[in-house]
Amino acid sequence: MTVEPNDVLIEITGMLRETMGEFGPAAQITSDSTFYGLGLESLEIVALGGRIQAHYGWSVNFVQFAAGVSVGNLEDVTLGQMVDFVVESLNSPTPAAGS
Amino acid sequence: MTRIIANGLGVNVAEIGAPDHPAGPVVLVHGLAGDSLASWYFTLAPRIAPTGRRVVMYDLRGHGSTETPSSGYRFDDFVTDLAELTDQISPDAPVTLIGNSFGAPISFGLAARRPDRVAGVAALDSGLPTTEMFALAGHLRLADRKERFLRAAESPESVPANVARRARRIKRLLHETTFEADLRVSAENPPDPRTFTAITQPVLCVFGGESEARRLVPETSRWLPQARIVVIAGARHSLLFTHTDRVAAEISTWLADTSPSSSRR
Repeated sequence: MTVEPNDVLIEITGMLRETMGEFGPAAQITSDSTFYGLGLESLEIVALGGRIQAHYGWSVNFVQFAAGVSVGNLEDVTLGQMVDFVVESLNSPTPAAGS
Repeated sequence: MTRIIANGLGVNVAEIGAPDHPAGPVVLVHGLAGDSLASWYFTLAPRIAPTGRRVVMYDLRGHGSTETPSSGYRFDDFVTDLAELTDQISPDAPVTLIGNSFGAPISFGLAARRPDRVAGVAALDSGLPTTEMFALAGHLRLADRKERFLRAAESPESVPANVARRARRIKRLLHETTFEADLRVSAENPPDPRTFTAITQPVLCVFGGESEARRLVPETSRWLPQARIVVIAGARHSLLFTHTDRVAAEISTWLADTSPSSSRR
């Protein structure tokens, strides 16, 4: 079964709103939205990663995603990049190693 | 992320890597005012996790998602938090501590107080809890950050939303707690340097070649003759973020050289 990017975008958008709670963005969330632009702090991106990990299981290795970015580049990271990472991980025939 | 009660405080903890490595966990201690465990999560943590060690990060009191009590920000309070946290996450095996900026003196503070519980300390552009270090910490981080963040808190529309939120939190730490006053008291009453002789574990100190913290090199060599000292040319105080791969390489090598389970004969 192949996972569709749009479904993942909707799911992660929901997790993002849960992570931010009352600070949730008023603006529309799209795949081009940057996390910092939405008002997420770096620690909340870690928390969002935890939700993604719990939701999709160990075939999505968020630590691998974290290794691919750095604190300096976090401001440019978009929701779409995280969606792509999740989709690629889930559709990959050999799941990434666990934690 | 999980919450652990340590020293009567709800402490926010994140963990990656192998939970049952025999060498005991590597615990990462971040710096002051505006910093959080996220600084490790997107830099060093994922780069040292492949070594197979358990890697634990936490938010200091008054920082990140750990509780912000109205008082209790003396140097010893930060050391006690770390002591109780490490007792809980690794009651048997001693921990290896890596401290960035003010996280380093906290780590050395525990190594001096409980040498049996600490297997080694790596410090990033910082050093022992000395008069010189406290002066640098106030000068390098707090003064600069305070002004910048208080300005951002005054005019949140002029900065990105995430910066405005962080600024509000730092303003609360500075204005509604005894944070600054407590740290000033600690700076005026640093630990007796003779207590540093209890630190006989392996030590790695990585300094930025362009950082004022290099001033700490002589006293580091004096009190910690075993320290491996590395200076990264061109790096400033923020070397964890600007020279992440180099820092990770130095730490990984040091971990491999000093790990009890992989000692070379």
